[in-house]
Amino acid sequence: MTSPFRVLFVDDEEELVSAVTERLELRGIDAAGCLSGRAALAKLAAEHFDFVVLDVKMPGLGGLDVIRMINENYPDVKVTLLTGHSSVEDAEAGLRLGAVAYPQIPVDLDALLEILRNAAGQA
Amino acid sequence: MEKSPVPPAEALRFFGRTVAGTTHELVNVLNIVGELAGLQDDLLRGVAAGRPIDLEKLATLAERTRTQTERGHALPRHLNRFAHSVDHDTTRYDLSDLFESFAALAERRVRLARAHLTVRPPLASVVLEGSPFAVHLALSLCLEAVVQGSPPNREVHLAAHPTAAGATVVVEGSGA
Repeated sequence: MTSPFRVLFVDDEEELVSAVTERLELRGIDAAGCLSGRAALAKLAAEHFDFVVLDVKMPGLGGLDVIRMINENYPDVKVTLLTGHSSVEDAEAGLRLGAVAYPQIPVDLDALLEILRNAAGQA
Repeated sequence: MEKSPVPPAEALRFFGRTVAGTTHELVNVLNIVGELAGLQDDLLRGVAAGRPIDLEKLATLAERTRTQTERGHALPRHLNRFAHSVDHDTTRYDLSDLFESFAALAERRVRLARAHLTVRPPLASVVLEGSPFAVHLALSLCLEAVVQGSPPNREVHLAAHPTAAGATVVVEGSGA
């Protein structure tokens, strides 16, 4: 099965990254994971991804910092920001920076995929 | 009555930060358990659709879920102990228990600071009389001072040495 797009999932919880990327793979999506914003930027420097799905609150570089750096260096990569109930302001700032959506955690994986398909123009 | 050296507003802020951080961590655990359950569903749907069953994968999944459940059980246990630390101005408490709770409740803050906390409780039981809440706050301030502005992967050590009067507590940073 050919993946319609490549997704990089970024969160500091290793087990969450592992479970989500496994579930994406089972749906035929080529997915990889990273545990920090800095690791995500290194991964983007080495490989192409169509989407980056990242947690707004992470150690080191936060989600908003990562969006800024992606905009600067990889303008064709689309970003979806995962937010908690207490990070509405960050989510809105993310949208202003060009994030395609900011679904609240816990995110239904199929709803997330729908967001990505829509953003990729494949709905 | 002796006046507490901790301003009430500062104490309340620390209490609030600890509760907020720990409940955030608990939400993380629930999210992971939800994703692991989703993964199990996905695998079972695959089997129903004709894919071969991968028993080893399912067993690993059960173990991963169990690990998170244990993590999830520990958080409210330590938060509950912490909440009761303000029941009385002074009380008798075991320093090892306090260290254990402090490490569990500080886990997220340590991770966000990209540091690593190791705890060496006293070898023998040290039971003290005083305010366990004040000790939590003092340890938290020390931890903050050690990790603040430090490079990633900093090791932070928390240790206690029994003395005739009680114990000497040491919080020190080392590494990168």
